[in-house]
Amino acid sequence: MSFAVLAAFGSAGAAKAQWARQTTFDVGAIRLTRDDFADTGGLNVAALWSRWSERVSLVASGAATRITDGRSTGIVLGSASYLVPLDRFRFEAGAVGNILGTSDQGPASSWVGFGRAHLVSDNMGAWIGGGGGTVHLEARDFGAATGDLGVWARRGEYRLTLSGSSVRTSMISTVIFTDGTVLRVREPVGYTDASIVGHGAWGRFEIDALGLSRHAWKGSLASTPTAAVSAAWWATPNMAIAGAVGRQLSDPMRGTVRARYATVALRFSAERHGPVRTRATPPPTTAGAASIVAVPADGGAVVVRVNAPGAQRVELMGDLTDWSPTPLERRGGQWEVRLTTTRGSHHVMLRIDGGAWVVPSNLPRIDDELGGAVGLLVIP
Amino acid sequence: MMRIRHLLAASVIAAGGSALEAQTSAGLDSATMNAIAPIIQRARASNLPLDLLYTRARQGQVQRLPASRIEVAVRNYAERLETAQAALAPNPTTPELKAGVDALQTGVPRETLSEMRRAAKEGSLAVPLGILTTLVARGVSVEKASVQVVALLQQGASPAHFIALDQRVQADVLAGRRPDESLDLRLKGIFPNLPQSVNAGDAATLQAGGTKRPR
Repeated sequence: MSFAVLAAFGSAGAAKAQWARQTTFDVGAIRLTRDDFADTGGLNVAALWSRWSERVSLVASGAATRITDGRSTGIVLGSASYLVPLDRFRFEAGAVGNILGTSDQGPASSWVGFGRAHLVSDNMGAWIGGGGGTVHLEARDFGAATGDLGVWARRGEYRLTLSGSSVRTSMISTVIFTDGTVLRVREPVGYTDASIVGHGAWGRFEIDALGLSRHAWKGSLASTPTAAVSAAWWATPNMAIAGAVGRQLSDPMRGTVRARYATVALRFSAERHGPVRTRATPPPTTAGAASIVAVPADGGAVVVRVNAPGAQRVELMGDLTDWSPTPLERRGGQWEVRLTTTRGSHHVMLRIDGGAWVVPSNLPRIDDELGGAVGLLVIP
Repeated sequence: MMRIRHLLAASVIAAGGSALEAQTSAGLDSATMNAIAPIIQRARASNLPLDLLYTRARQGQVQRLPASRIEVAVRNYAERLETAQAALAPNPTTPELKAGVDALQTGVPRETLSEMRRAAKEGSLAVPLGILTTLVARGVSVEKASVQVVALLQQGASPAHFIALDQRVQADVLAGRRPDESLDLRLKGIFPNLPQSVNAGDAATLQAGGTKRPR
């Protein structure tokens, strides 16, 4: 599961049982420099399909590259996981798999099951987990074990994730003897990647950056740092110009090799991006702009509801509170208080954010014979 | 022995009444209490609900008004309370009296209150009186509002009907319609659905001839 996706859970919590989604399709050009290739250029297409709710996460993605020398590479990745929320904790179980195919080599694949424990608050979280599975390379199968932990924080459109992950598996290495004999042998490898991932968005522009340091503690993999950055500018809500540049390290779990890359693409999205056109934050409720209703509740009580957009504090005073200021509680977009009172007419006033006492906007005013006016609220 | 029991019962009731009064007058300062004491004494003799008067006094005290001004407001209120009590006889409830006082204050004649009592028979008038006051405060003429509210009661309108009527008139007035015109319009949608409904023409006849017009 992508931890950018997990970070989005904080906000997804506000829309329980609703699915968040991301669907993009990229088509563009790539410049690729692999250790075993000369510089090549080519056509690159990529797709991402992601759906997640408070409990379920589904991700499928794929990319295909055809380079100028005629070779092609395609990779498909998928993951599915289920989370069980328990107070501030999330317990996650899932599986991730991928298939990599190239026109000049046999397919490689891996399948890993994993479990994680998350500690989540509104704007930050941490996780620890581990998993195991198999890696299929050149018609051989190897075991694989993974472990990972990390923390993330989010503020508005900015996210930062720090993580460490360890992998223990095997890969195929080429041994060339002095007599020219070439052997493909299994080589156990183990390494730990420490990474920092940032995401930011400013209006139509969004950027992702990765910094990673690999420490290989078994096998011939290189211990090396790397970095990558990608950006997109949403020309329309559903189309962006996207680019990425960086260096990927070899990934024995996916079968990919170390390479430098630069891409530019047109990105099409099924969802709207860029500046979100939301209604402007409602201005603070001005005197008299708040409205009030009273509805009968069980036990002979009534619930008084006040609509006061933008208010931070709402108080009610009237004969039904014995003319004592009574604070209302925020419930969703409204303010409420439950009172025991009689049916019929009542005199009420409201105070918004500690201002002056005012007559609710939807009530008729009647003279209070004390030099002012009150609102007449009829409770059915 | 029986007499002692009656005395004990009367003492308990009196003690209860005093406790209630002490509770409802709680929070009033001594100056206000002294100022309204004669009004309270007279109201008690007339069997008016004292808590309404204390609430009125508390409203003035919350506004930090001088006791003399509170006294005037409480006296005016008590006078209307007495009028409402008589108009809503024989056994008006406190919510009815409270709503009746508001209606009187907005200019509704006491005769309308009496007509409403007759029209409602056993039903509570707390909500109909409240809506009558509301309609008048929204700009409907006192005469038209009074006639129509009485007619609604005669045809068995429920509190829900009155609430719905007020909501529709409110929406119309906000939209710019004249209050009297809105009331006429909205009543056409309510009268046919009342338990003792007659058609619209009969309703008009009933309102004109069957109901004593308030002065």
